[in-house]
Amino acid sequence: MNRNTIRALLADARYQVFDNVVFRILLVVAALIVALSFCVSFGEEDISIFFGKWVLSYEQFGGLVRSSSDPRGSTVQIVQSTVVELIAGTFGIMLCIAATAFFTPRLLEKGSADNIFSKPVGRFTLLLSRYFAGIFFVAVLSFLMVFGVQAGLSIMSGYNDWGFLWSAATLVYTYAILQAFSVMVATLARNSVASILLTMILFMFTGCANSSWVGLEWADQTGVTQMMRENAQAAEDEGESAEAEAEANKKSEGEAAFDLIRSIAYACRSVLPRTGDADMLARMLRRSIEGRQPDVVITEGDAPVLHLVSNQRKFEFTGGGLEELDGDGLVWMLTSEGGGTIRITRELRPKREPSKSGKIRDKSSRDLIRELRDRIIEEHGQIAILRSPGDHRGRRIDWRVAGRPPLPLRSCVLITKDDHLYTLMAELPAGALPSDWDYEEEEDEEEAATAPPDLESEEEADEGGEEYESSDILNLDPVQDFMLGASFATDPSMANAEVWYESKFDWDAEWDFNAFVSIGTSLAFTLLMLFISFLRLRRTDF
Amino acid sequence: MVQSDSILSVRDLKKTYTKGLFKRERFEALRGIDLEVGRGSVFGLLGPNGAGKTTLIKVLLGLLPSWKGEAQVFGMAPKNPASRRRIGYLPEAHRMPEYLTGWQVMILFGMMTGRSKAEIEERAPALMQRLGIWKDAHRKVRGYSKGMQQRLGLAQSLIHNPDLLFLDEPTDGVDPRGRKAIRVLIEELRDQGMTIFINSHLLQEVELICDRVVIMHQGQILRQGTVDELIGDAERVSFVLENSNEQLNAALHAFGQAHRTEPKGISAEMDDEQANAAIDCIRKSGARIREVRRDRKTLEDVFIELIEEDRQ
Repeated sequence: MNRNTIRALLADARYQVFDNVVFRILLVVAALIVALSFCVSFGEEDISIFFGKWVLSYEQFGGLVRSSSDPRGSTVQIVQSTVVELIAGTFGIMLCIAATAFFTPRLLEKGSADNIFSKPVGRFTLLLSRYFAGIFFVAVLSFLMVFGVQAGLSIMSGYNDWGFLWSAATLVYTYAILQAFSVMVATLARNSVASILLTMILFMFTGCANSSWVGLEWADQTGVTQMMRENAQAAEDEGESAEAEAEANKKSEGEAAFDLIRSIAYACRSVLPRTGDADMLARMLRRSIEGRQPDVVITEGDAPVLHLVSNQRKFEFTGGGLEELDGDGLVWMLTSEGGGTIRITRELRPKREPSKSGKIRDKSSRDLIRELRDRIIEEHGQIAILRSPGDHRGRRIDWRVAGRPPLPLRSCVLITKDDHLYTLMAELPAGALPSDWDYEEEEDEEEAATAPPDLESEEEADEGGEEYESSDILNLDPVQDFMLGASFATDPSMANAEVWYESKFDWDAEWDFNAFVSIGTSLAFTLLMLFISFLRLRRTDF
Repeated sequence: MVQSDSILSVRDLKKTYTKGLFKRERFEALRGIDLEVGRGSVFGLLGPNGAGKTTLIKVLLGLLPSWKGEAQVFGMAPKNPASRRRIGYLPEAHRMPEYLTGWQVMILFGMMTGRSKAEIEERAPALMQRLGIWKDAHRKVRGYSKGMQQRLGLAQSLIHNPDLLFLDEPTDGVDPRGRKAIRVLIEELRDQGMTIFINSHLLQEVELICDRVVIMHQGQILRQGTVDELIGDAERVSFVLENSNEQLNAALHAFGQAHRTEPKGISAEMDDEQANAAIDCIRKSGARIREVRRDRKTLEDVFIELIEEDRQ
């Protein structure tokens, strides 16, 4: 095959794509999205729409804007994620599958095939040309949209997020996997409808299999199922009565079913391509370019530097090792108004009592925070608890120490990671209560008993003896960010399954969360599909 | 061993199609074909539907990967894509990519044969003009009529100036004027030394154009040779009669051969002496002769006779 043949095949792919009606429609949609990004300006303080015709403040978005310290960045990222992951990554990909799935079947149709395959070009080369025609289709749309949106944000909002450009590549990556499957179906069935339907099903099924496995694994590893198991074990231990035994058996069956479903999901996930990881890859690649801008940087001489990134899942030390946290740990003096300290310590994770089956499990951060809560109640009384284990999924607790008001505050976050327990203890002066340090309402009766008092209510004034003046409240946003960020960080069970999975997904993570493995297995699937297509095509009579 | 100096040679070529999940349904499309084709001739490939004509062409073009026997095109196995570099092919009921214009079809298909764009661009206008599709060159193929698509198909098969051309029903859907243009073009190409294979049901056309004819039936070659060799010198005499009866018909079977009963009489291959004797016989029977016609045998006659014989 010479250069002229390759040029002809590339030109053929180009003509085929540009003639496609769906491609033209999607091109218009992409152009509209890009145009919108030029009509909205994300400022530091507010959002200006249509060159100032409407101005919205970030506060109007409430909980949607995740970071109080960088509302613009946070909002822009939400917009970018919506565009790339939802609009393009889901609906866009499905439309592209529908629009390109007939490329290969049409090549193999009687009449067309005779014409094309009688040319001095190998069969597989012709098939690949159709495969790459589909990829070209998606690449044009993806790059136009992502680069266009980035240009809009950069010009109109001055927001430069070059890592976002990786999203275009990951969209193409997702489609390339699906397109290989589509080509394989097309060579076997030689039918456009079969190719479209089966590829759509694969796309949805891989997404479901991946999400199911992540959800189940998250539930298992973060203690949800562990609690279930323990309850079953407890029922078994206590179960002298027939009812208790039946209950234990029921729970045991539930656990077996859970394990079975998880195994099936795992098998599916292992065999099928991990198209769902594309978003993770995009975010990871994005981080690799933009890095993390720490909200809080605390330094002390040559001591380790703690970077805390609000709204993100990691905190990291640079300059020193984690072993410096052992023993008394590291203490930073807060230089903000009112002072205060934050101490971070590390210790080996305590173990639970052996279960009936003899297994010794590590205590979870939930267990540990409950123990701490009990100690606080014992020492300072129930009323001291400002944030109970029921809040924030049980890893953080805030309380006031006993004594005369104004009472100093304490905030503690427990993080379990691998074999270690990390404790972040903030000791804050009296009146240190950030304005947006909100308290969640307790949902059940037990939690309601430990609900924090409303500090501004009469009742609180009676109990606490002194009403806080708003002027007394110190701005401790950075501390709050610190604590929240840290708690999100290495104990991702604080968040949801997706966040947990994202926190684990990395280049050097273990097998199930490894980015290279994800890419490798997906590419292997892609190559396998193309190989099957090749074998089939080699034996096809035209 | 297949001779390598011929353009195309086939020995004991067999092809069986299988169908069904376990490939139990089998159909023998070619049952041992032997064929040798030299340069610069026009070959007519004749046969009823299912005779194996298209299958034979497809094997030679590498469109059918599994077959038995020996086959070589330009000294190469048909599986080798390089063997198709000097071949042009106009498939039966072909479909050009609808997203391309006629001009783009010419350029892309030409370049797929390895020729440069400049070379193709130089040849394409003349060919398209010759076949009457130049004014529609920049229209999408989806807007072409069947005849135009057929002419475009022929044009693309010639764009790289091949040495061997396979035409499967080349005049299908083309109007009489277009058909004549194609016929003239084929004759010119033959004169230029191109070897052309024509697979057609229009036997008169084949007779007009082809130097050699191969007649196939049920996957086998029944006969091959020049048109004159196949037709021979025998002539057919037809009698149109009045008051004919079965007795007379039976009596006339004694004169000549290959008798055919026609609506108003009888025809048979016979020489002058036999024709005169037959006339005497008719007169004696009391029947009236309305017309006596002497026709030279056509390729169609030969074809039908051969197929009928083979069926019997």
